[in-house]
Amino acid sequence: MSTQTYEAETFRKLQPQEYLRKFLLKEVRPDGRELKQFRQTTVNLGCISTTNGSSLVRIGNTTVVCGIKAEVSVPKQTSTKEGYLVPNVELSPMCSPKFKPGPPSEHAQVLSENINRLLKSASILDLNTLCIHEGSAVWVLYADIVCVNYDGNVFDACVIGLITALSNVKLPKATFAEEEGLVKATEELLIPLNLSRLPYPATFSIFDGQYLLVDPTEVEESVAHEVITIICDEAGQICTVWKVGGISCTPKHLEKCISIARERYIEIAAIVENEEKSNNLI
Amino acid sequence: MSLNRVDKRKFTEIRPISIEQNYVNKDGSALFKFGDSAVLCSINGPTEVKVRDEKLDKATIDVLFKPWIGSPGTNEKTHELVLRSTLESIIQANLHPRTLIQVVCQVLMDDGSILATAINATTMALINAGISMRDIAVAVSCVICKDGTILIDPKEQEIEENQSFHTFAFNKVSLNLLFCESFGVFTEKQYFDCYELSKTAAQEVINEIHNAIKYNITNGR
Amino acid sequence: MSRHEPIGPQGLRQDGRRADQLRNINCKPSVLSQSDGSSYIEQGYTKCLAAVYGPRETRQKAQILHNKALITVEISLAPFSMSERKKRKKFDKRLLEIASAVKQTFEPIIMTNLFPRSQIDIFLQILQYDGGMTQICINAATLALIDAGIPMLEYVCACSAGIVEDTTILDLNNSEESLGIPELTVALLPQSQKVTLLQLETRLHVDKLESVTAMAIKGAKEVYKKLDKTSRDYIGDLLQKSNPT
Repeated sequence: MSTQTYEAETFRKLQPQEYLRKFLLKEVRPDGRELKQFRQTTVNLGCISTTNGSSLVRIGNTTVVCGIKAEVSVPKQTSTKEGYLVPNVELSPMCSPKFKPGPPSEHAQVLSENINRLLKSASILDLNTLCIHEGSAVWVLYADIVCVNYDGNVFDACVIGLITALSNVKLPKATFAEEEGLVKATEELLIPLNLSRLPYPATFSIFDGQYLLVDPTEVEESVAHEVITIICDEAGQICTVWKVGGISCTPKHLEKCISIARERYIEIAAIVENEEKSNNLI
Repeated sequence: MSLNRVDKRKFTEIRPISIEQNYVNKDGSALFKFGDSAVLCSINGPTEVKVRDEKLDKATIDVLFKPWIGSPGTNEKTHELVLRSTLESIIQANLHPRTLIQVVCQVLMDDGSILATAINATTMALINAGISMRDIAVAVSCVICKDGTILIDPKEQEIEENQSFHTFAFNKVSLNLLFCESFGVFTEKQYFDCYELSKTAAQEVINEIHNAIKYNITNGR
Repeated sequence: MSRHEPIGPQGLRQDGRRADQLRNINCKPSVLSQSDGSSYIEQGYTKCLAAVYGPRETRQKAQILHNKALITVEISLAPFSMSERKKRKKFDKRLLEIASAVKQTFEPIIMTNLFPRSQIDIFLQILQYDGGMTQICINAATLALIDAGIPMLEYVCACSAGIVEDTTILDLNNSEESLGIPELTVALLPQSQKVTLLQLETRLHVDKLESVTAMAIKGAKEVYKKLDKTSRDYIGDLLQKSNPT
């Protein structure tokens, strides 16, 4: 029987699962983190001046830019007093060699859909506050989330990006002139949005049915197909539980995930608060 | 909300299930109904696969989800991802390398809990097609009302009115969680209550599936 | 819509620059981890990210060139990048035109004969736009290609210039571009002093052509200085890190 020795990189390409297993047996991950450790997260608010609110979020190498633009529009027939939020996620071929140019990939569509569901069901913003004049004019917020570097766990970055960008949005005070049917807005008076809830996410994957990996990188994502995402809010309530793939998840795993998600919430809230403070000082 | 549900069911009662097999002339097919929600699933495979989708060591699973009205959008794409990920862990794909197993789900009537209906329909269709599986997936949905009551297998109207919507899929052998989708605002305790109630309801669905298979075998195809 | 004076009484433009002053350039190579090479450039308020993948396998067999590498350029304008939100389709004609100009600029410069039957992809993402699309795309692509280690003959540095009421101005921003004045973009090979791209929008009197071109070339040389310094500093850092002694 012949044995071959490979360089680490070659071994990773030939046997990605074995490669990960070797690390996990020593209770560490390929990038040196512990199983329960999140990558370094940074948030930069107000980086794009052509938007009404924006943020740049980095989780490790995964980088996402979220820009929100507000436009005035006629409200929907079914809800004449409410404005609306339109999220969209773009995963361009620039962010990873996995994505080919063309129409939005399934991954991007699933991300857009889940963010849409989160916005609808978690009542983050009272849509009535976006109303300028009932039945004639409301604010529409277009939230475009562009991923520029994909290194796993894009969903977390997108959610954090969206929520922080929303908290960065300042809308001009708008009045509806009935006689002319026009909306007038003054640039001088800018009002921030009143967010009723600030949910932040935490994503995990389960590898080999036993190892719970927090904040998977792209390498880990490609071999650990069981993914769990928990989004909780400031009161410790849960807004989303999303779990796909794999057959090894038990309530114990979920309990652990929920408690780690709560700790993560405190971490993210602190990072965002620091960023807001330093932003206000500038 | 109200003590009675719209259709006078108990809180933890699922709607009457109806299963029909061999509905269409494909390798396997099944129609699964939760009351008025009906999904028809048809399976084609293992069959020939395009070279670019070919996997050397296992079968490629391709899912198509067609809605009741309108053309497929991001919602349907998400359902496709969910079904595909669930099936990839259950089907013994390594027995059929370099082939394609095509799953098509068509929603015939949508009265709430459609993803759960689709997962169950897919399970029945796979059994009908005779594709080897490690386990089978059964799914159930529930909602939490504003007053905290949990309603199992909600109709469309109950979903629209309530605080949060959950869909769970379990596997039969170990009743582990295969898939979970919960959107809304709820506490951890409420979540696990939903989990337990759905697990119990899933057991009923498993019994119905057993009966349907027994019926099929004893009465011949 | 009010017409602002592009050049005020003191000879200063709307944003406080002199007529021959370039906007502030901020650039950084190697900002993305997944691509082979990347860069981030800010020229005034225009922000652009570039990512280079390659040389890698050609995606479509029909496009393989037997003796050199295929270069593709894709420019994407983020919907929030301009003051009016526009969801640009990928096949927007204007973006395709600029992408094609960038591709033609780099084709003779990148040593494609070293990588036959392969593909080099250049992706440009404009995050915020305030004028100067072609020039910033070319500058960002140059820095990203250097970061990717793809052999090139020289740097390619670009700059735009225009003329308003007999005064030539350098590096137009968005409000100056929308005045409808003639705008000339030049891409220069700074060491061999050759021009690889010359693009003119709207009409320009032939007598003025030389002065506007000269202004744009002057701007391009300043861009070169900045890009060169950034690259050398970055590579110097890398060398220091790998050889601490």
